[in-house]
Amino acid sequence: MPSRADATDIPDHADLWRRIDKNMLSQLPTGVKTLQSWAWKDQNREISVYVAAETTEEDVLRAGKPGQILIKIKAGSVRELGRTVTRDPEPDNGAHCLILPYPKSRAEFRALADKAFWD
Amino acid sequence: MSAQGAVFVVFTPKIKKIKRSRATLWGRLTPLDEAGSWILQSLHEILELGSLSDDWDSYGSDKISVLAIRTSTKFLSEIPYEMLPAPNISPVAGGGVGLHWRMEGRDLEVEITAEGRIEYLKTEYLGSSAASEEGVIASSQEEGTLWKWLIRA
Repeated sequence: MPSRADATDIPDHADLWRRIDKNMLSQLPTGVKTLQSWAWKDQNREISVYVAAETTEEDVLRAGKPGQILIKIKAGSVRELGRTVTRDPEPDNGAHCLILPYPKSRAEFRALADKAFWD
Repeated sequence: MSAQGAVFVVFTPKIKKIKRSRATLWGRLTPLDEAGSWILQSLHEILELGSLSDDWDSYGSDKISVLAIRTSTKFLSEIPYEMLPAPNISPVAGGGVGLHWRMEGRDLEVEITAEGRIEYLKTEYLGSSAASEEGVIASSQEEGTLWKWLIRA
């Protein structure tokens, strides 16, 4: 079980990547894109992210499935929402972290989605 | 029942010309070619979710449940498609189906869970603030209220 402490060595301005299904990024008729809140949902109740500065897009996507894309959120945005960025290194990627605690309501997932951005 | 079978239960029979008296007897059945064009595409997208395998999200999610697919196709068949744009459709961790609409400052997400429960989150954005309400859609009246809110009817 990973330590639940916030990783204070990850600065607020650090980009965190999350791998999601591409269909979770809605394309509106206006051309604007908006993220669905369940992009942050996880069956095991742990939100996986990667510190962008410590890995590569290729390495993060390689661990995923075809058709996945990356979205981003600032570590500071996560903390502003009352959550922590907790280190949880994977065997193949030391940049892996968890956003804790797991949201309790759909509105909390929505708040994370509203802070996310993408290329 | 297979996911594909669920579609035919909802929309059969597909008959291009229906005599008015028979249409009355058959009530709410809508021939496929009379439904909004996006309905067919959306149904296809939902059925495609049935082909996802376990761990489709790379985080260990179950595959999308047949009950979620069946319930979401039924849900989609009953919405006022003439008044709404096509939803964005995606799989949801845990085996559900997600439908998402955003119109102006209003955002509506409907998740049909793996257990077949229809849950919603509606969010209204006013400037820099957001007001949300979430719950379970348990009646057609509740559903109608959400559509009216979304399109500002």
